[in-house]
Amino acid sequence: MASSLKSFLKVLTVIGLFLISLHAVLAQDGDSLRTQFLSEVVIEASATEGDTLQNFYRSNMSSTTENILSRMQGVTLIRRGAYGQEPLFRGMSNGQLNVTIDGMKVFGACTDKMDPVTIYVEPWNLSSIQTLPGSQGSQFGSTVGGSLNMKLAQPIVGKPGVDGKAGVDYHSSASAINYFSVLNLSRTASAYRATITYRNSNNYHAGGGQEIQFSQYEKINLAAAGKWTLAKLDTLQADILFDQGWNIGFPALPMDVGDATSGIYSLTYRRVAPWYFFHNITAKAYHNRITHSMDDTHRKDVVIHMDMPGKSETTGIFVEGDVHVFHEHKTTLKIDYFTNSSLAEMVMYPEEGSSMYMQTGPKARRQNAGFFLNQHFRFNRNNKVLFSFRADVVNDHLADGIGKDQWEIFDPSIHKNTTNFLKTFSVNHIHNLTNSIMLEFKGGYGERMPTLNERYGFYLFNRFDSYDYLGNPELKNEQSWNAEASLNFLSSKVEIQLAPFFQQIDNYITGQVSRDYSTMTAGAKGVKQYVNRERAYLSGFDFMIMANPIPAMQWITTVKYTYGTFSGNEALPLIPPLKSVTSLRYELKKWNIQGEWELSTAQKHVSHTYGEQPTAGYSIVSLRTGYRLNTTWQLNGGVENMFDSYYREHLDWGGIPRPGRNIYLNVIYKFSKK
Amino acid sequence: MKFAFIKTILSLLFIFFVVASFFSCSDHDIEAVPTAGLTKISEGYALGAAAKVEVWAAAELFAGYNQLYFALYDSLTSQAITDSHIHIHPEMEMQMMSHSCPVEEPESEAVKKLFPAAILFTMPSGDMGSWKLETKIHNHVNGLFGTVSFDINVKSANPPQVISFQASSGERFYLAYRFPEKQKVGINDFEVIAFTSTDGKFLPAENLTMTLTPEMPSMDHGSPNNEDPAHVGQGHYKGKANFTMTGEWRLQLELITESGVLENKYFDIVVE
Repeated sequence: MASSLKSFLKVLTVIGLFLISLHAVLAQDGDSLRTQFLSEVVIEASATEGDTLQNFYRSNMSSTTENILSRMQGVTLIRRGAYGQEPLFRGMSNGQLNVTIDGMKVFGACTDKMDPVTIYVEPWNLSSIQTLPGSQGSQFGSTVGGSLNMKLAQPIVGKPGVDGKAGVDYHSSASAINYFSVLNLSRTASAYRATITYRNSNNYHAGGGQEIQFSQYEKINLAAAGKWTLAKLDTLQADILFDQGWNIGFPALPMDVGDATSGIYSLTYRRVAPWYFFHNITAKAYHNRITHSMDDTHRKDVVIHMDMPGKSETTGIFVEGDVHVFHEHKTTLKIDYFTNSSLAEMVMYPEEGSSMYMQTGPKARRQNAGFFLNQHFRFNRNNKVLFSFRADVVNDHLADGIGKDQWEIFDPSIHKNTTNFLKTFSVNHIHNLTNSIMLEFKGGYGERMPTLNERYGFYLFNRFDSYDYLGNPELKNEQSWNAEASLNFLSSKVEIQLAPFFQQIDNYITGQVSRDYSTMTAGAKGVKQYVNRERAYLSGFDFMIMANPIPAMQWITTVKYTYGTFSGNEALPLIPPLKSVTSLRYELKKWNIQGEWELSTAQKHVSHTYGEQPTAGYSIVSLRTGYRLNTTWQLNGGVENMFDSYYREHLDWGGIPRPGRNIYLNVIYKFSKK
Repeated sequence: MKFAFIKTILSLLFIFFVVASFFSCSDHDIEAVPTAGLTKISEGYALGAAAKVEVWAAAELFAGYNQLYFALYDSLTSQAITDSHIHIHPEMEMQMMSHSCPVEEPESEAVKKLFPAAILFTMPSGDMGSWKLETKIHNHVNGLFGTVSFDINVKSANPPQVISFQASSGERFYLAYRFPEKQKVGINDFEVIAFTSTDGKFLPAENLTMTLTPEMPSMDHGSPNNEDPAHVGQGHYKGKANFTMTGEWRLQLELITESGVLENKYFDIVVE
């Protein structure tokens, strides 16, 4: 522990010295266009095509949303299979984060977290991904860990014409085929956009050639959007997003996913022109429905065959707008509401006798109404303060029926309704030290509700520690204080950001062994119940450097590090070690070539109470290249994990290795007509 | 003018419906049929008592604890008799011998025109022999005595709902169970009925201590927070059995007497 902290401080000092020396060398005026460059990643916009960062995050054209996330600052993925990885932001995941699509609340339907919301969205659906750490993310809901919002791509009105692109690629490691196409149609008063993505991946091969059984997947994603101008500066937009995945293997789990389907629908009204005190009004109404079913029919040695269907349905609305009260001090207001109903069932079929049914996620409904206020104060050119506040009222309702009857065994006086009030606030101070150095201090307080599974989950088997997890209706809210300082250096050739952070979480929700109950799942080690642990601490930093040493060359290095403990210095489980990615890209007229070096240190600071194993460090190298034949055709190709290393990341469950050498080829066709 | 006419009609209709609804809501004490929801097992005339005897039960009779309901009617007027002494004696006639089984006799006053009783059938009708239910009536209305004998069919229950075993003391024990409500996922009231027999006479076993452990044999797990059946009188032990899911459950019972553990027995049930 002490040594890790020491090494952490050492790293910080080295980076600090490096920054100071860089500043001395490169003290030039620069633009500050990209002050947000860590928190928002542009996925697709013609304006930024060929953008350095975009090439970095979206390492190849068939990158999935989770691939892109894994490159983002602070983000790591909990990996149970080749697809369906769960985002972790600075050591926090699941209920600690708001994962939203264009501000819409979507909740996965799988009690085993096999369907994080990010699997239902393809990069072609998106314009950008925003990450807002800690209480800074409260615009999207009360939170302790922050928000991850995936902005949908909008059709562009008023540039009459048609354009589109399509691409297909092949990846050798998993004999995978990916296909996509995008079509945009723009008119003077309306615009439409449609995308199709199809993926078909077989089992991949780890370094050394070992085939990883049950790592296959197949999916299709269809999206359509229409936007209409109602009056000058008033628009209405309709979005339909359909995504279906099937036969998704989870090598680290005892079951696979048979089917995961989502339908996400929204209607958005935007008004730029003032209306009374307000302007920039956005009102959105949405509905989404997710169904998910697990499948063990392909597995051998299944003790007892079972079906585990789950569904989750969410309907919501929000209205946000700016208020012109103080002239240059912008005020933003938002009110939002959603209701989420979920049910997860399990039917087991013993070889003889009648089937067994229970609700692993008892039928329940959560309603949340919130109010958000954000106030900017601009004191002078060099000092800006942002203050935000959020209040929520949340009601959980446990429906009558088997799910509630099950719970009465544990708590005969269980409440059908529970209402909680939550508050979140944060303060940012942005200070321009010089034209090229910007300091930002962020601090705040956040709260979050236990998730419905943490509250009512019923014998949810967790393969990570092999325990059956039982919810706890009496759980208290998690509360968190967070602080972050970021140092930004910007010049025409170099951009650097270093953001150390610290967070304290009280009433940290985690599983604790309960000896009162016997296991349900064959082979489970015991039963854990969710409890509030007194306190947990998370600290770490995100670092990024982006530079153009010579005009045709782009260099990016990112470093992310998190260190987590419970009070009493016990390690938090599932905390990634230090990871760094470096990319060097060289652009010629029609050619580009990009080398990548990904490095991770070993993780030895592991939780023994969760049976966590240390993980070795690794280093892998990839090489990518692209050739533009003409304005219509483009070829890309590359070798990922060039030296066929056998490796895994710390958050990869079950000791399953990552893909070995992967050669890919990609063809893209584009067209545009005015 | 025309409009006013329609309005009047509508108003009248409205008043009519309101008044009608008042009437239909008024408490009519519709007399509930006492045997509603029950199955008629048999009927016959108790010769000498001028009474017709009907035997009802929740379902067809089975080997296990059966609640029975006797309904008596005056054989001339068909009026229900609510005050009578009823003595019941089930008997299984086998080739070489005959035996009875534990019985809980009705009270002499009817509850809602029915006389509740219970019989713990220790075995089903079949090749071994057949059951007869001898019923003696002392009609308190006319003071007459009479007897009727019913041939009854007792199904075998699968899984078995009655257990019998002989203790080392030579005493024979009979155990059956009942769920006052149909068993479901969640908390269930659960009742064990225990009898002993010596020399062909059946007596409630009132000095047992029981521990209850439900488990799912196919899953190798149990359920928490069960309540051990405790004696409430007449060989009835009440407790709570918790089922965390549907399917086949085994209710393990450890039976303890003052001299130690008597026996470990179980009932298998299906929770739907």
